[in-house]
Amino acid sequence: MRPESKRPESKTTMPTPNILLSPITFTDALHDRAVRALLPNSLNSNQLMELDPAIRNRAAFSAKVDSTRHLTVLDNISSMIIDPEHNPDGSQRQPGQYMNEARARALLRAHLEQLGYEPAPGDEGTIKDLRSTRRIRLQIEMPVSFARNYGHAAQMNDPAILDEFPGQRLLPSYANEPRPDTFWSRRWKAAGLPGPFGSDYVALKSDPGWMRLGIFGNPYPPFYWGSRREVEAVERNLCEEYGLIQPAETPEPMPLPERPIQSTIPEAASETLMQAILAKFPDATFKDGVLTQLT
Amino acid sequence: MSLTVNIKLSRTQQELQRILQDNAGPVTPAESKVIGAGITRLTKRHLRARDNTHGHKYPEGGRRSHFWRKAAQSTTFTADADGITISVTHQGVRLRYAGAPDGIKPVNAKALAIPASGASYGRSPREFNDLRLVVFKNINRAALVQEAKEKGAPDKVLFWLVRKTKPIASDHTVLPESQDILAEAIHRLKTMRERKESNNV
Repeated sequence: MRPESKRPESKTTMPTPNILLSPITFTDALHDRAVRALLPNSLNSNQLMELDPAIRNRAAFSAKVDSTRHLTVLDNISSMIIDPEHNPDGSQRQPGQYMNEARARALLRAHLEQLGYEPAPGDEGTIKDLRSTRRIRLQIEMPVSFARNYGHAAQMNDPAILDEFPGQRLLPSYANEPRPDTFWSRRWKAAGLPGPFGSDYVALKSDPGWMRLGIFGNPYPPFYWGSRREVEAVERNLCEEYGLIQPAETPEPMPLPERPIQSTIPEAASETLMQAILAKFPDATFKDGVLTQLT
Repeated sequence: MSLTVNIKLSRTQQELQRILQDNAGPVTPAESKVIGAGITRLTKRHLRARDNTHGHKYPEGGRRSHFWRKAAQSTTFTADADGITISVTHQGVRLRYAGAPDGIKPVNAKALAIPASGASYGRSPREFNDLRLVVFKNINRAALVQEAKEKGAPDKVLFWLVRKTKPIASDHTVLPESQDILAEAIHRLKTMRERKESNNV
């Protein structure tokens, strides 16, 4: 990674920033959850990946979860982790009403027991088993990570910010057992992204290659199931040095998926989602509101 | 609960202009957004670096929760004509910053479960289905114990149960140093104004 320009040392007496303990909400991240409608389904993850990113980005789903009740619990828990200040109904969280990942996992497991869930024979303890620790972690971490990364990308897509930070860097993985570097360097090249510049994986935020880098079709992380590679904004001077942008050039925005505010009534939103799926897959089958087949 | 860094531009902009020897006028809303983005990046970097140096302390290992990475991911900002606000919205960050001088007491429960090993770190007792309550009268403590899976091996204490924790010290290194935050603000403003000037030449 290349060092960026040096900061001036501040030896003057400046008013110090105030550190506040007042509640603040990550509104842009919550927006990612607010536009999603529940999509109960009996499809596996490969079949769900056939759906357009535009449809997936408006749906709250998990492979082979056909219970609307369980999807609602999953959705509420994700929102409660993203917003530690409020309950899903908008009321202020009271002392003792915290939601962290450990509590979320315990609640999900308890809810599955309440529903009488049993995995299919042979699936016990695997990723297909909704009670398994691996599956529960994935079900909590992925939506929270999508929402926070979308929120950050949306904030950084402001024209004034893009002008100063037109680039984005893929950071090294922090997974306990990361995929090999060759896995990502191959994907980087196959996506048509520039460089890398030594070990520095930098491209303009507007580069459509970011959407091809991952499997979900989004220009922001996570890029893969369970991936722990994040991104960070890159300053203009380094992008110019790498030849990604010319000095007086106005940077293009990141092609973020549209997030129109839909109806907040779940039934109505689900209806819209169902119509979007049927428009793309006319042979798709819904049984009692559950997506059971695409083609 | 979230932790917030707030910079009131009305207080700082005169100083910023003096340092920059700048006659370009007050900080504009667009400039304050860029300063906010720069300080957000600084804060995220700081929290990611902290994640590299602050793993859990259990010698037998165990899965890491990457608390600070997730805190970095939860960092957000707002900026307007009055000021810039950067917040870390991950549950538990505020407690680590501000501490709890009187300790923590359980709410809606009789006791708090404190992880006693790498296997229970970052997990709730409800995630286990093989724990039993044991009271150690000799040390006057209660624990949730997991029965050994191998015959003859000792049972393992996974959680200590307490009615109140010890005082938790505040830790202001959770956030970047104030002078680093302000240096980033100055650097960002200076870069923007220099570029604007050179584009106008």
